[in-house]
This record gives sequence, C-alpha cells and structure tokens, in this order.
Amino acid sequence: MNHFAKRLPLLLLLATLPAQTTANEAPQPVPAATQNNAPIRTTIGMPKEILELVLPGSELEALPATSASNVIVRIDDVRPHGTAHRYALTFTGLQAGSYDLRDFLQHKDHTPLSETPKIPIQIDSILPKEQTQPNALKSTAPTPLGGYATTMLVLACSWLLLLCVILFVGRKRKRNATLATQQQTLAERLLPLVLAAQQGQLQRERLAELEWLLLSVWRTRLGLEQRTAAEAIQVMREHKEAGALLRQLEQWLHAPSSSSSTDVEALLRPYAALPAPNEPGGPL
Amino acid sequence: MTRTAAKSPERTAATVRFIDAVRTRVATVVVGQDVVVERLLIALFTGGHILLQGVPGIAKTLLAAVLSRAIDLQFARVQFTIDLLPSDILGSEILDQRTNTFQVYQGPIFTNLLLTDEINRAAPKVQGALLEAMQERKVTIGKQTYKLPAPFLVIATQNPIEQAGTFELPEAQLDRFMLCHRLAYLPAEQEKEVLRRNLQLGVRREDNGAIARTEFDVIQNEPVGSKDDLVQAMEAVHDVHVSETFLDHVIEILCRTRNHPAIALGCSPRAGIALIKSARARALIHGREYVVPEDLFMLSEDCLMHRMRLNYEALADGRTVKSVLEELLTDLGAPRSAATRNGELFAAKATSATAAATTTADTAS
Ligand SMILES: Nc1ncnc2c1ncn2[C@@H]1O[C@H](COP(=O)(O)OP(=O)(O)O)[C@@H](O)[C@H]1O
Ligand SMILES: [Mg+2]
Repeated sequence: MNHFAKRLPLLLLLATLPAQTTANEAPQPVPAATQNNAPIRTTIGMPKEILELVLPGSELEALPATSASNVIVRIDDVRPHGTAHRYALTFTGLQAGSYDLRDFLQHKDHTPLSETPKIPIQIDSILPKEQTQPNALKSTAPTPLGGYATTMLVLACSWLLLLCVILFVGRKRKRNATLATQQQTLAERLLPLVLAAQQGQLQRERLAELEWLLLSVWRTRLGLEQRTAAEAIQVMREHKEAGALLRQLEQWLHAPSSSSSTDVEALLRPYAALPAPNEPGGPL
Repeated sequence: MTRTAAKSPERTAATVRFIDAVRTRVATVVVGQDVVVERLLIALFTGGHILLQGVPGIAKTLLAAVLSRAIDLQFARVQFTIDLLPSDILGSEILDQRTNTFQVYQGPIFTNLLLTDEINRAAPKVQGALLEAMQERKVTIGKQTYKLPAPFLVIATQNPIEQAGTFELPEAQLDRFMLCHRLAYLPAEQEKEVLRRNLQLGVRREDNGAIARTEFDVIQNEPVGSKDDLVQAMEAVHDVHVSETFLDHVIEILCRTRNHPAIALGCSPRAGIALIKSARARALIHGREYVVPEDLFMLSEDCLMHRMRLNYEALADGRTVKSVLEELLTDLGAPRSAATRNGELFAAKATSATAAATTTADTAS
C-alpha cells in the first residue's frame, strides 16, 4: 500500500507523456474556421497546410510557379461544398513578406476571383533583416595533409632519423675526439717526457709511461700495428736499430743498479729529434 | 746487473745447463712446441700449476710425460673420466679385516709431478677436490691431514672441443692455475718432421706378438736433471730483478682489465702475482737477470686470459677475450681514459709509417 502510494506521482506523469509527445510532433494544420483576419504565418521554405478552406465560385487551381514566384501553392484535395468548394492546400514561401494567397490561385474557368475573400499570409525570415547573402565562410586551419596514416608515418620516420643522429653522430664525434687526443698523445706526450728524462728530471712514476710511448713509437715506425703486441716486441728487439736502442732502454729501466752506467741523454737523443707531428713526414 | 752474478755465479751456470739439458731431452721426442716447453719450465720453476689447452693429438700428454721423466721427480698420471671419484686421486682409508684397523691409502696426488689428463672430463666434485689440494698443498683423508710432497706441480690438460660428458671449469677454479697455455697446430714443416720420425718407430715385440711403437716408447727413462737442480732453478728465479717500472707496467695492465668496457671480470691480484712470477722465470730461461716488457707481452695471454670474462655486450659483438686483451696491450701507451678498439690508435698513422721509418732512421744515426 505504502509502496504504491510512493509510485503514484510517477505513474501519473507517465500517463500524461504520450499525449504531450503527439502534440509536439505533428505540425498542426490550420483549420479554416479559426482564421479571421490574422495572417497565416510560416517561415521561408517551411510548408504550411490549410484544411477545410471553403472558397466560393468554381473550382480553383494553383497558378503555375515561375522563377519569380514568391509563394508556391499546391492544392491537395478539392471537394464540392454546395455551390462552393472545400479545399485542402499547402503553400511554401520563398521570399519574406505579407501576401494574399488569392494572388497565387486562379479559377479553372479563368473567371476573376472577385467574390473570393482575402486570405492573408505572412512569410517570415529567420535570417537577420537585410541579409540577402549567406554568411561569409570563416577561414579555418587547413586539415593535416594526407590524414592520420601519413602523419604517423612521417612521425615514425623523423623519430628514426633522430635516433640515427643520436647514435652515430655522437659516437663518431667521440671517436674522432679520442683519436685526436691519441694522435696528439704519442708525439706530444713523448717529447716532454724525453726532455725531462734527458735532464734527469723525470719522476720515477713516469718512466713506465715513457717506456710504453717509446715502444709505441717503434711499433708504429716499423709498421707492426697489425701484429700482436707479443709478435711486435719480438720483431722490434731483433731489429738492428730498434733492438739496440730498446735493449739499452731496458737496461736503464729494468736492470738492477745499472741506471747510473746508462747515458740517458744519449739514449734518448734520437727521440728528442723527432720531427713535429704536423710537419710533413712527421712520424706520429 | 752484477748483483745476481755476484750472488751465485755457479748457481746460474748450473741452471743454464739444466735448462739446456731438459730442452734437449724434450726435443728428442717432441718436435717444436718450444713455447710450451718454456711455459712448462716456468711452471716448474715457480711451483705454479699449468693447464694445457688444445685439441686432442697435439702432444699435450707426450710433452708432460717427457718433461716429468727428464727430471728426477716422482711422477703420476691420472686420466680423468666421468666416473672418477675424489678418493681415486686423493686416497682413502681402507679397513684391514684381520687387524680391524683403518689403513690410509694415499692416492696418486702424493707425488711431485701430477699429470691430470683431460681434466674437464671429471665431474665438478672431483675437479674441486683436485683444485683444492693444488691450492692448499695438503690433503685430508679421514681425520688426518697430510702434506703433499715438495715440489708439487700439476700439469693439467683439457680439450677445448665441446663434447658430451665434459664439465667446463669455472673461472674461480681456472684462477688456481698460474698459467693456461693454448696449444696450436705445428707449422707444416715441423708436422712433416713428426710424421718422418713416426715412420722410423717400427714395432716392438712383446710376448708372442708385436705392438707398434709410439713416441711414448722412446722416452728415455734416466733423468737429465735432479730434484736439486730444480730447487736451484727455483732459487735462481728469486734472484731475477724486478724493477719498479716493471711493477708499474703490471699494475697498469691489471687496472685496465678492470676498467675495460668489454670486460665483466677483470684480473685479480693473484693474476698480477702470477704474471710477475712467470716473468721472472722466463727471464731466467732466456738468460736475463732482470725482467723486461717482452716478458710481459709474451706471458700476458697465458697468465691473464683464463681469469678474464667478457660481458654480454662484448660477447654479442662477437669479441673474444684474446682480441680484448690484445687491444688492451696495444693501447698501453695511450692515456687510460681513451681505451679504444685495437688498431684504431694506429690506423690513422699507418699510412705515414713507411715515410717515417726513413726519416727517423736518418735522425737516429
Ligand atoms: N710436436 C710433436 N712431436 C712429436 N709427436 C707429436 C707431436 N705432435 C703430435 N705428435 C704425435 O701425436 C701423438 C699425440 O699424443 P698425445 O700427447 O696423447 O696428444 P694429446 O695428449 O694432445 O691428445 C703423439 O703420440 C705423437 O705421435
Ligand atoms: Mg692426451
């Protein structure tokens, strides 16, 4: 009981709904009886139907429409009504203004419509008053070329390109940089070491570095870069000029308590006179 | 230079004679393989163990057998197999039924020179037992611990070929070997000599039949050197001078293996010790009283390669430990930060090398 009472307003509302919808949907034809002298209104292009319109005289027909016609009339149905006729007709306005519907009708027997009463109609425009041209097109941003697939393809390509740039350009630059430092290293690092050693001013910790550099010099000079380090040093020690110099070097650096007997100045003289690296024929 | 000579001139002379005699003896049976003989002597003189790695049939066993009999040392040989047990090498306690007491049976490891052939055929447990004994130089049987005789040296051989039933030695165990030498095939000329010698071997009559003689049959049994000679040589190794600069070189190499971008596992201090020890022995064998960079270059492969492991990126790049080590040695002169690939350092200068040789030859003379 209680439950039903709660639902009652909703049910009532539902019951009214269908009636409302039909009232909204069907455009109401204008019954001729309701017309007094108020014009029948519609807007441009919207047809308006008039039912049960009794007009005296012989049967009427619509004037044929021309390109100058402001209103087009269509007779939907005609029935005799005593001496008069009862019409159902539809008109459509093409130009805003007030008109008399009679101007668009004629008797089939071409007698004048003298006894026919005035049927005022009013065609309204939904456009602003003086607007005779359509709204100018607004210029909008052009849509992307080629659509979605092309956009994605272009994006993917540019991403790959960027990746390649990051991967290879950076690496090459780094490699060039290290090569550059090394090219600089071998000759430029050697000379100060040799000069310092000749004057007996080289710190002991740097002797190891000096020895590697001298070995590198000979390895390069004898063209042993492609051989293994073990093969290269054997060839170098057996080489007439390199072998003698390297053995002296070994004796200076590695033999016990014989460093005093080595003439370091003379030993390193050939390396001190190396051509500068940027001169033509520079060794390093 | 005179320090060593002053210390013991006759010891050095005796060692030189000893080395010559051993080399001559080995050469009567084995053709070529001078480097392997040198490495075996290095192992002998420093008391470090050595692993010989190579395909079957390149005289690994033969070399070890000849060497062991050239010196008057106790020698034992164990062929490793998949079903070998630790007690088969170490020994065990045996119950004497009559006296009802345990008697200790000492395994073949109680010897001066142990040849363990094809070490990677045994199960990891057996490898572990052997390698532990190698490190500790003692063996525990039952409750009793026994010292191994001195000198004690293991010469192990290993086939690199992937075969069914082989167990790869992990780096931690390989690290116990002071040297790991990889044997290569002989040059064609020497191989021909092997065949020529083999033709002359003939057959040996035995019982009622005959057996084709092998190189193993021509190994002379009387030694050319005594245990005393070996001890003297071991002492002479300790007289070889190692300069500060040489130590710097070794440290430099070790550091570079640890910081190299392609190497996952660099060299341990033990690797450095092995490098210096074997460099000393090599200097002695080559008649020098001090070590030089040549020793370093010649030995780094045997001392360092088996203790290094590449990382996955380098392996995926198809690089080998050998190529990385080679790159490392080549770059030694370059600043440490700029470690680059082998060849790049010199590639840019290779073109000017020939011109430079003439130019600088003038300068030098
Ligand atoms: N350098 C060499 N000198 C003499 N004989 C060799 C040499 N290389 C191979 N041989 C021959 O090959 C055989 C290989 O024997 P072995 O030492 O058992 O090889 P591995 O132990 O490497 O498998 C030897 O018995 C010998 O006949
Ligand atoms: Mg064998």
